[in-house]
Amino acid sequence: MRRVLFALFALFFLVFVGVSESSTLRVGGVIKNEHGSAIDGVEVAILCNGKVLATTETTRNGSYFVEIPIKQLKPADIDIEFKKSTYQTIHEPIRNILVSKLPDGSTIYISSVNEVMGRVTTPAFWIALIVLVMTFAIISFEVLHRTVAAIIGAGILLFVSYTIGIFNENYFVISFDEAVRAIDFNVILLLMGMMIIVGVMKKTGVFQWLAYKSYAMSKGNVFKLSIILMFVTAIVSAFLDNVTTMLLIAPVSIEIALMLNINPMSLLIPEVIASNMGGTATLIGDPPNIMIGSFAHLTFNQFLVNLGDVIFLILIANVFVMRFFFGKEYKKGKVENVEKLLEKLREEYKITDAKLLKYCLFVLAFVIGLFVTHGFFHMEPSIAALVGAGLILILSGVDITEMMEKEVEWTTLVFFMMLFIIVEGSVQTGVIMMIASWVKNLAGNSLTLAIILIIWVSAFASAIVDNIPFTATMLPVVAYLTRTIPDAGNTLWWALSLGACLGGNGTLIGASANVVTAGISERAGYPITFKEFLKVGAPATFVSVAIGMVWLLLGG
Amino acid sequence: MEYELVVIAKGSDVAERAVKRALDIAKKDRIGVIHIAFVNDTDFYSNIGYVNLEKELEQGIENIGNVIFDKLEMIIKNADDKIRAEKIELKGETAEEILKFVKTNKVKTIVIPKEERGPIEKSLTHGDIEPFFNEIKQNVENFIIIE
Repeated sequence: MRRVLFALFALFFLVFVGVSESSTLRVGGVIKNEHGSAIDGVEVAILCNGKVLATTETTRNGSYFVEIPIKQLKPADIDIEFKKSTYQTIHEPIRNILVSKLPDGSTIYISSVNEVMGRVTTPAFWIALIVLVMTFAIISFEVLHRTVAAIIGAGILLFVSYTIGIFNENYFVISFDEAVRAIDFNVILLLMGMMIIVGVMKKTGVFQWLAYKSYAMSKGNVFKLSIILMFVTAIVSAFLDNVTTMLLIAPVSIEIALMLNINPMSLLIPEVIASNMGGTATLIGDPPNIMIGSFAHLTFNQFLVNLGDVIFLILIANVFVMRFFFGKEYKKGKVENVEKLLEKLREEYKITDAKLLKYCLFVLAFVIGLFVTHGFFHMEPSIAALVGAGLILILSGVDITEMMEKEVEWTTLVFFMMLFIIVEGSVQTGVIMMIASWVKNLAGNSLTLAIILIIWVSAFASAIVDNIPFTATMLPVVAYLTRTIPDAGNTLWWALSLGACLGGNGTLIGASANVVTAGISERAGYPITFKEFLKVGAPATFVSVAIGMVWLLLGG
Repeated sequence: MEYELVVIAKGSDVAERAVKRALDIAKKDRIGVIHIAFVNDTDFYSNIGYVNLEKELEQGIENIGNVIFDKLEMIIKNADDKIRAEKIELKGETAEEILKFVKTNKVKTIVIPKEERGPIEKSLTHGDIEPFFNEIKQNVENFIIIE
């Protein structure tokens, strides 16, 4: 009994006296870079006379919190250190400490240390920059398949980080965790869902049938045919990717052109230009828009409302641009027996599976309905696409293995994943922020100047390099400008979308859709040269971007 | 197989001139059939869209080939109704397929329309067309280039 009482007394003494004499230091805060963006993965260390007492890391929103018992220590002797590769290390004493005595007698020391970490140009910066530029160049000049180029780029960044970067942190570009987190799965799943829907839908022959119907509607009038084909292509491209649209519609157009005895280029160039324009109008029409929508949390409706009307205007203006360049060719077009031609086209391009088409149209309408309402439900658009993909797979009964193995373009998905990693490497090392600072210095706080800069620079760059890696690079830049320029709202996102998507019309290599269209035309004996495309594409782009710019400056 | 006179088909004006030249040869040498070879080449397509469209593209190019054949056949028919046109469809890389064709068959005369930068030139490494032409020459009796 005595022993028990003694033990209870000892426990009470230890707990009460021990706690009452205990002191705790609690330090927390947020670490940002010079542009006000949170930095994650910063190593935070609490030190006393060079001895590390505790460590932690900042979270994705740049915040950290450390709590340590400091029974024998004076808070004034304690330092804090913030460390991350490519940033200047900060080592300082903890100041502004608030003291709080708790009823149990213990003391709590609380301090908030918020810091802005400056960049240092390390070898990692140059490695990320070189990889980014090389990937752009290899993709744009088709030295390698773009997916191969992106895999090599991402591979180099990770390999360097986990070899040389382990021994010398100045060479550490990106961690595996950062690389995985950089992949925007909203974009990947949205693309995959749409790929499955399109993969089933193409089996119905509906896209080629639309091209044939355009000819039937034009009743042999070539200019009218060109206008109808432009609008049909633009509408289809607003929901499908432009490459798929052109690969399905271009052969029909070439056939019609050959039968009309006109140069197929006079139908193909207006079509591909309209395809690149149509894709600009919606969230899902062009990969740059998918990336912008996901990054900036913009809804399908916001894209349609803010860009739909201006794209319609741009299309109308370009009808006249095309007439200026191809008007003479259109007048030449004649066919001796329109009915015979129509009969031939009807036979070649009929709906191959009407029942499947009904299912597809139902699912497409449902998915578009979800896209329209996804903002209301706070639902990512990828969920809508995945639901649609699931539905269409059930209704159509297609072989899922065949669909996944042969239809869905995994190369495209892998390309996006690797690209996100490459761009993240540039974000982590400060390359992107360097670009953002340049743009910000040029634009100052002027929204007008920022709109002009973003729309024209994006258009010019997209005419030369692939607009997908360009947009991926510009996302953090535009986010920074949107945050820092007063009253920017979403305007700069629209400027990026218009510039990046419409700029693809500037040159033959500006958009993948242009390249595949030229490839098909070449097979028919009518190669579209760089110069020929430039002659029409450059003025069309200038007119389109100028309209877009004025539209945005007037408040959209 | 044996082919007396083969023209490589395209939709351009150069191809029409090539057929007219073949017509002259056919009339002179009393050849009854001109074979028109069309290469269904989808090599430019590198899987960059949403879905794989290889089959659809092949079908589309085949349809284009049919229209080109019909046009060239009409030229032959209008010039001399005793001479027939017959279609040969090859599938694969343009230059490679033409070479394979002349090597595996006995071709007496081949007429090739040459563009400044057409699919033949594109499908050759570095666009060097001379070695290709030399190899064709070694495998046929008469080789005619129309520019």
